[in-house]
Amino acid sequence: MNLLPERVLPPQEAGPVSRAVPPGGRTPPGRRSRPGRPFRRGQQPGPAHGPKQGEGLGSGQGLGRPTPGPQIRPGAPVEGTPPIYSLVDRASRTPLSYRVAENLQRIKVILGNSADLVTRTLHVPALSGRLVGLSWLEGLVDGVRQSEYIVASLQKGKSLQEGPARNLPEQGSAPREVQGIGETSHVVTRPRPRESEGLVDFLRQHLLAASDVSLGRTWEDVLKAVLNGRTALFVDGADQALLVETREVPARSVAEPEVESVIRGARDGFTEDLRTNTALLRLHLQSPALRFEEIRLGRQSQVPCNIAYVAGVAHPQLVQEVRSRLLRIASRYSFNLGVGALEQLIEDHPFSLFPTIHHSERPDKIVAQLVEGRVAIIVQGTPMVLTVPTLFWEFIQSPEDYYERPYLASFVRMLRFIMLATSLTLPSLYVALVSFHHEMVPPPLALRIAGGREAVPFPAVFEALLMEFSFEVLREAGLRLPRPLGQTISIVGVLVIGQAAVSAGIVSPVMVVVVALTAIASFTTPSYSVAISLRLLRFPMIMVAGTAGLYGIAWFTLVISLHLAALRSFGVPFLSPVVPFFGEDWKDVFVRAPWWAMRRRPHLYTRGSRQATAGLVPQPALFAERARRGNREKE
Amino acid sequence: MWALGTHLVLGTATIYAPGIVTQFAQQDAWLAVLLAGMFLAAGGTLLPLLTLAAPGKGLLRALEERTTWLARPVALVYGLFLLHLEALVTDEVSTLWQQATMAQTPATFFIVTVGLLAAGAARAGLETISRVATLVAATLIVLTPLMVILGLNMIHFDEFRPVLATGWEPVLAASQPATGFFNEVLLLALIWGNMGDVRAASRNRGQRFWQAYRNVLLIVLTTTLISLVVTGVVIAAFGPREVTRMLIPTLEYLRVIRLGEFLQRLESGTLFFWTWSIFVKAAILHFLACEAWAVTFGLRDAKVVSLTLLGPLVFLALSLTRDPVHFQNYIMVWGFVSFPFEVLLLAVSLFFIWLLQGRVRPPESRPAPSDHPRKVARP
Repeated sequence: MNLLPERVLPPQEAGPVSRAVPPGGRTPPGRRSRPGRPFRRGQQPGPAHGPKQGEGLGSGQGLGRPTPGPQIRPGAPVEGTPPIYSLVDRASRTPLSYRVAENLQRIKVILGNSADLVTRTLHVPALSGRLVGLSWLEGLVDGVRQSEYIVASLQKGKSLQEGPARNLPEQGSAPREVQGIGETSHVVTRPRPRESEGLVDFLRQHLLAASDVSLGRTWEDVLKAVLNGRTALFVDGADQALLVETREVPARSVAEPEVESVIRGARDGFTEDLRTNTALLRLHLQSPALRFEEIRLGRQSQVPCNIAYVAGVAHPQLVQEVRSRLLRIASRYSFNLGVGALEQLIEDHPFSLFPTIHHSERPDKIVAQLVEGRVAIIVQGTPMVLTVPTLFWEFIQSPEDYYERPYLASFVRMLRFIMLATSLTLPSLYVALVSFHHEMVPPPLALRIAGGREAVPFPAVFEALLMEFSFEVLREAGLRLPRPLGQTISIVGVLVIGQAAVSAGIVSPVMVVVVALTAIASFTTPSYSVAISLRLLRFPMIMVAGTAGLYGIAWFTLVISLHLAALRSFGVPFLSPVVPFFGEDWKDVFVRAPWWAMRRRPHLYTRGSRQATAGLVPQPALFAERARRGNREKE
Repeated sequence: MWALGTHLVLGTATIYAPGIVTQFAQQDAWLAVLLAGMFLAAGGTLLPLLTLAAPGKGLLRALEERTTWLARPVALVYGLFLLHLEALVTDEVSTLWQQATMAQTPATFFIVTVGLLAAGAARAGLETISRVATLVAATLIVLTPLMVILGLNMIHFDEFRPVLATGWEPVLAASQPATGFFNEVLLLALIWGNMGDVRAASRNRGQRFWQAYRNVLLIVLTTTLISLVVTGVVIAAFGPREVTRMLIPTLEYLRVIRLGEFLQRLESGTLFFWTWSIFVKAAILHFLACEAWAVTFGLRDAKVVSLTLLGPLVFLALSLTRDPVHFQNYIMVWGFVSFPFEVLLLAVSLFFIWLLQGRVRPPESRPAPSDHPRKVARP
């Protein structure tokens, strides 16, 4: 019977693997993932991206021994996710103590005695009165669930002697009870690994009533769990902690999306809670092939982010590309900046004015894109979900298109295309016609325009820039103010200031009409990001139209076309399937073909191209039966 | 491939071809264009034959691989020729816009802006150029029937009569300059191998030839059809005598179109789209010129000279093509002048190499740095 405690190595001596992890989580090249180093396209995330969560350090991986590449398990965190660093790095990467008091003290130290940190100890009758410590963050935990599933369970549990003793370690190796040392009734010796595991297994399997209980071996595991809303449970004599799911995140309920509202479609929208969002996706797509992989973003914030895709449909290289881009930035930023910042950090062309990553707050839309073979990125704390790859034409499509009949949907889509072009070029065309190409305007109209501009002291180009600038100011003011006040400002701005400007001879009436039409046209673009890009492009286009007329517009549109043609979204040409040309994929670009005609997925980024079988054209069963019977009679 | 080839012909052919062809064949100009199309379909076999001589790379690069001492002077000739050709094309833009509406805007402005854009496109690469070319070609193909429909009230089919009044001789003579415009497509042979459609390993030589020839046929069909429509419409609207007096009859035709009472004189609007087409042509020529200059100087990447060539381009465009009459005469004899440079010189060079060295396979090139096993990410 060996009562001598097993030596727990400090981090510096914990073996080659732990030596390879200096403070800050930085690892020498070639050994483990280098968080600061960008991954090359198509590169695997490296031979070893840290130990699997829950394995801890020093788990027997020898120095120089080649370790297999990370095996991504659905639902499991992706290896390579950075550990918690910085302020708590050295402390957090040490193993747990086998004394409850030490553990509770240490978590207080690590979290800086934070005001919302709660610790509690209690004696468990089932473990012969052994001391158990609980620690959690107030506000993140459901108190009722915690009381019922943890505290009450521990108090009511069967005693060690009555319980299934076979699960416990040998009697001789049980912790010794030493009386009279301070308030701690149990002073325990360092346990052997089997003892520790036996204790926590007994607690997990026979005492705790909670369904989701995981094991924490290092402080890193414990901190991640506590910060995520779990309750950490320490037992005297065990250098492991039980992490019980008690999370109750303050979150709003599922509501209808405000930006992407539809008339006939589903009314649910994503919320700020990651798990609610993944549940919504699961509800809409009840397929075993739907996969979620977790990556933690932010060196300190450790915000969970999930990659969602449909296995067998999404191209593995695309999934790998998304994974590697997220891992590249995962530990480079201290805090998670939200989906907007994430989008800018992983896109292909950071200097482009056009977004190459699409986002949506509608689960039905995201599910449709997943089924097409795209990959979604869901981040905790944001009700927007990113999808990649993104094609330019998607920004013109609206969820409503897929709920309406194809004719109406196609008509509306074409209308949006025309409005997109109008919102970009209308003011500049007006400036070009008025300044350079008078001959194109018929005389009656030309006279009317000239009459309106008679009192205006500015050239047309300046007039247009002034009006566009004023309009942007009004729009920005309307956005920043509370909604009712914002609307009032917009109406007052448009009606009163516009009328006053015309009366004062600052702008011509035709220019007011042109700018108003442009503004209305810009609102028809479903994507806010693209609408902003076009708003920005409108200014230089007006300038070139004022400098070189229609030639200037032609030149500038060529510049935009060249830029768009050179863009890629996760390797997929941004303007496909128009250029490069894929005729079959045109069914959902300028028009929306009937559902029964869209049987194939986009060619460029999916693996299995067929998404529906033939014979989907609606046909009444009665007619089909009659036709079959007729054919039989003929035969 | 189709889009690139179409743009090399379409812009110039639809602007200048009707006037030139009508000078020779009068009311039978449409027959001359049709005949030119048939000649082109036959002569187009030269293009796949040349590209199959060096699959997987452009002809200049193939020549460079075989022998440097000959490749460099040949590439120098091509570099100069292509720059000259691009200067002519760039100058077309200024000529058109100045004649249409913007007479006071200096030609330098047009030349510099188009040159700058072409250099940028060449730097972006052939793939980007071909995508823009596809977009623009589709727009032009949609607009051509629109142009006809808008001028339907001016069309008189009597202008085509009598057919073949002066016999076949003037028609054959007229078909020559029309064919000359197509010669420029042969320039694609310099880079066609890079495009990948003749590289498929699973195909044999005959299949690869047919695959490449189908592309040529498609280009010939598209350009012939559009040239035919434009020439026919212009003659039907003005009559052959009037057309011969005009420098750019297509522009005159657009000038007289009335779109109801709302818009009139659409030539500026049409020039808007022509500018796109001419730009694509300039971009292709600039890319080819970069390739030629890169071979001349032994550079691996042609993109590095794209902006450098802007200076000589502007100089050439400003100094060589100031006289419109000279320009018109030059275009009339274009087929004879340009053909030897467009591909013949290269073909002859390759033939000599073949005679001197025999059909020896060139040594396998070293793998690019990115393909090197050490550079590939370890699993």
